[in-house]
Amino acid sequence: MTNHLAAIIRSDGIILGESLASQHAIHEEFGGVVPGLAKTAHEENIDKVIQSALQNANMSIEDVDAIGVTVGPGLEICLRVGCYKGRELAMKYDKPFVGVHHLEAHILMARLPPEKHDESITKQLTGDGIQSSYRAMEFPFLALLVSGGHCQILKCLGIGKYTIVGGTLDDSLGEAFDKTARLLGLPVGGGGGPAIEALAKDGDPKSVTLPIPMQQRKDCDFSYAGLKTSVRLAAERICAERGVERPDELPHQDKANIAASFQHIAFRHVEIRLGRAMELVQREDGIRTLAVVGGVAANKELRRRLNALCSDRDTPWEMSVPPPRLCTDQGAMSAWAAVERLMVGSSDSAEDQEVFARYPFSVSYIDGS
Amino acid sequence: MSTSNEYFLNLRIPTPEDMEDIGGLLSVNSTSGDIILLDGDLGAGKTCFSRGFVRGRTGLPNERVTSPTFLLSNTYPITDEHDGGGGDTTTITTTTTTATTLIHHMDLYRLSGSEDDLAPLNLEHVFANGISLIEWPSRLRRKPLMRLDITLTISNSTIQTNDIDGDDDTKERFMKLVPYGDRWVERLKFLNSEGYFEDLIVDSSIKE
Repeated sequence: MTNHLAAIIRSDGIILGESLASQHAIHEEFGGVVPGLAKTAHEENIDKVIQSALQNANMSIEDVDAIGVTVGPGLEICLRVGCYKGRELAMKYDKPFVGVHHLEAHILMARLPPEKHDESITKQLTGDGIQSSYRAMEFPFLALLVSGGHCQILKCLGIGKYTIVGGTLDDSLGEAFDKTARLLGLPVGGGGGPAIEALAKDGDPKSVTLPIPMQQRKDCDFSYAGLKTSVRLAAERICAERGVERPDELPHQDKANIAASFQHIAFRHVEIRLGRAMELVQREDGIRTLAVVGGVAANKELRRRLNALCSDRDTPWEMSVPPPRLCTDQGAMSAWAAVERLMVGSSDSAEDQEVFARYPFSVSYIDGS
Repeated sequence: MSTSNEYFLNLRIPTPEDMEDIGGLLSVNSTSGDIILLDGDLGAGKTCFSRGFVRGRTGLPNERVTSPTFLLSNTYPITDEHDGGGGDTTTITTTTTTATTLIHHMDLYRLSGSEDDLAPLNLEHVFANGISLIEWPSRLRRKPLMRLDITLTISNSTIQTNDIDGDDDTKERFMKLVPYGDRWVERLKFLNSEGYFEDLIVDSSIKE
């Protein structure tokens, strides 16, 4: 998704100011109807967003050192509005410009220094607190990117150097959550994912038998379309037992059991595919750190289980997850990705920057060299 | 009102593989301006059909065709080589131009259907210049005049047991195809007369 949010981040990872809309970012990427999508196609909105971020940082555009903006993948019309504004500001105020890859921005959030400690650590490390190169996680690492639109495992070797280890063949994890929430008639305004997570707490994850997807394929890919159907069929069977017409009419406990069982199997699928990927990259590249990013990383049960997956290994892994609020914050993501790119001396020409609806890692500025 | 909507085809689609095959079949020779509207419940096979279409038309049998529900639109480029004339081209002395057309696989499920909400999708441009596969077309304010409407329904026949892997839905699907505009009518008639639908056909108004 392409949302217009803005943030100002210092190179040591301190968020100086964000547009107000950032508070609602989670709704947009993780369920429900797309609110205000139309706004993103309008230019007047982007000025307001930038102004509100600057105001919150108590800064003016002249004070900013560089400008980063997402240039793909996404809806071209929306990307173009943001990109042209970024280009215009960079040229007008003569600032370095970075065209940010949306997926790289997701991944790099795992390296954002932790909010609480960064200043003291930073100062100890560098003495001036501003030019810190302290990161929550060093390359190389393995990343699990799970949101409504994305579901991938990537090997992250450095800024601009990523290899896809596995990805979904059909639906994403976030979409599976959202569609299960809709099936059960849960309010999805705040996102189908959080609704299922909350309901699952009341349920027994072993009560409804659901098949783990793709058991016979021993690779690192995902598939959630089949699970979606299995959940529907299971819900219909329970409806028949209870004598109700539709799953949304089921009693609370049945719904909670379905939600808990679905969540359990959905995460079991992650554990199996991710576990295999961890095995692979540890053997081949000596990697032993995991980043969990994207909207679904906000799910506490997923964090708990992946923490266990990391610590239960023969050689324990370290895990980094951005704070839930930042998992979907497009403004902070773009700004932080720009910081990361600039710190390794990578930037783009504002004048020539285009947008890319389709933007595979392989054809971006990222060439793996 | 166009008379072309008097034509229809009803097919029985036993497996997801058959659904992909039909998608591939309808992708043959598709060109910019072609629009297919895909209606049907969650899990009815809309993305499955689209997968077959995209793989068939791009010639990439392993292309990942993932759900566009959250991203709203996924695009797949196809590059057709046009022979610039000169008949038999055993040498490359004749001009060979390559034109890139995009297949747009869209899902309008998460949109409210207001004109404003549709604006970011740039549909007018997409319909004219790309090949469009549109899921949840009920959100459209106006349907294009020339198009193929496909409606998928899940059979009510007995719930069968899942396969060993357990993640396949084994209920068969029904597919209704209604062409609008001569181009689609002619194409369906052609495919029908060549026997491509033979094993799948339930009934049809198309006479040869």
